[in-house]
Amino acid sequence: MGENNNDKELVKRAQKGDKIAFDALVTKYQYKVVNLVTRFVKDGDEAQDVAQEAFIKAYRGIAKFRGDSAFYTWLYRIAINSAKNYIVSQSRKTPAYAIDAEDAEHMESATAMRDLDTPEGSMLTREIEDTVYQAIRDLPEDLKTAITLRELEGMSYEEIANVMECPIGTVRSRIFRAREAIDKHLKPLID
Amino acid sequence: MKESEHELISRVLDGNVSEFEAKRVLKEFKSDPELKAKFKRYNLIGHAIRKQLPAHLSNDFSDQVMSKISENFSPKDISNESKNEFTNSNKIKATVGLAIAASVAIFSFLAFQNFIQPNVNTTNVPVVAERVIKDSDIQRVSREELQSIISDPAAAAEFNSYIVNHAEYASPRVSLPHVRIVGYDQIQNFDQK
Repeated sequence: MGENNNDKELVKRAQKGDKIAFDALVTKYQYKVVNLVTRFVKDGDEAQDVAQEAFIKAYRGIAKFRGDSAFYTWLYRIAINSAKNYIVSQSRKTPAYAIDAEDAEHMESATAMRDLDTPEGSMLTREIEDTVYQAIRDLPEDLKTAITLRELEGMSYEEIANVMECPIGTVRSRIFRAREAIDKHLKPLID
Repeated sequence: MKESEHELISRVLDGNVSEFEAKRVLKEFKSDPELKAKFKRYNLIGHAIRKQLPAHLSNDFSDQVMSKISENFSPKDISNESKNEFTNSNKIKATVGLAIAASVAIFSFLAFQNFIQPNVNTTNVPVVAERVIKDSDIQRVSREELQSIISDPAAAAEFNSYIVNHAEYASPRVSLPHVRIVGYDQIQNFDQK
């Protein structure tokens, strides 16, 4: 997804010491970071700990983040280093494959992650996915298209407006309404 | 919470907000936990659509991170760090600026000094002396007298001392023999006259 400037406002506020802004960034990237760390650290609980440590390091260094790259690319490097440090500290064998930090935004392959899933962990994940996909199927066509272009294709609001030949305001509204409709199905499952 | 504000959360997730809007939503997050929960679920929806959910889902992951951060850092730590970054950057800019200004000032001073007081010793081209020799200062001698002066050991010694003296004080760039030859020519010219 093209997220180079998407986090600009949240990052700016976090750099000023706004913890709520950093909390929003943690929320936004927790799954990506956990997935990334899980490639190195196979134990789920340990992976969570290493991912948390990566976010704490990111918080400590966020004032030095200059915005030359996407926030996630910067966070990705921190997470990779945290995972590698953990492996060294545990005197474990490092993975046979290397991951280039520049490929951070293209490393979203879910297939590799599936291999590490535990049956019990997969259950909730699968349930959430099934619920979300069922909710999408029930959406009106315009909402379904808008949310798919945004979440699956990673298009910006402007690009979606061009594809759907409608104003940006309409795109905003359609994406929001799609999320709201899906959330009605998801909320009981999470709570 | 109005529907328009829920839409704002959706836009925050996509980074489609202004600074003011981001500030407003974050302020609401503090006072309304349900709003933050909704932000989390919207985020979860996106990852579920892309099939990027990890096997281990932790609903309180961000809370745990923020709890650890609160234990170890105060907001001032980060804002001070940010200020330090800004200050360091400004210090570098100021130092570079000062160095450039000083260089320009020194160059200007030297150029001005050179302009009002040119140094003949460093001139690359031959220059004609501005001093005008009065006729009364010149001792006119005939060829025979000149011959006798040069052949006189005392006069020759004095003449040599002039040359040595001149060589000691003259710039290496000045061609000593040439200067002296000009002197002889003048004497010869006077002699011819």
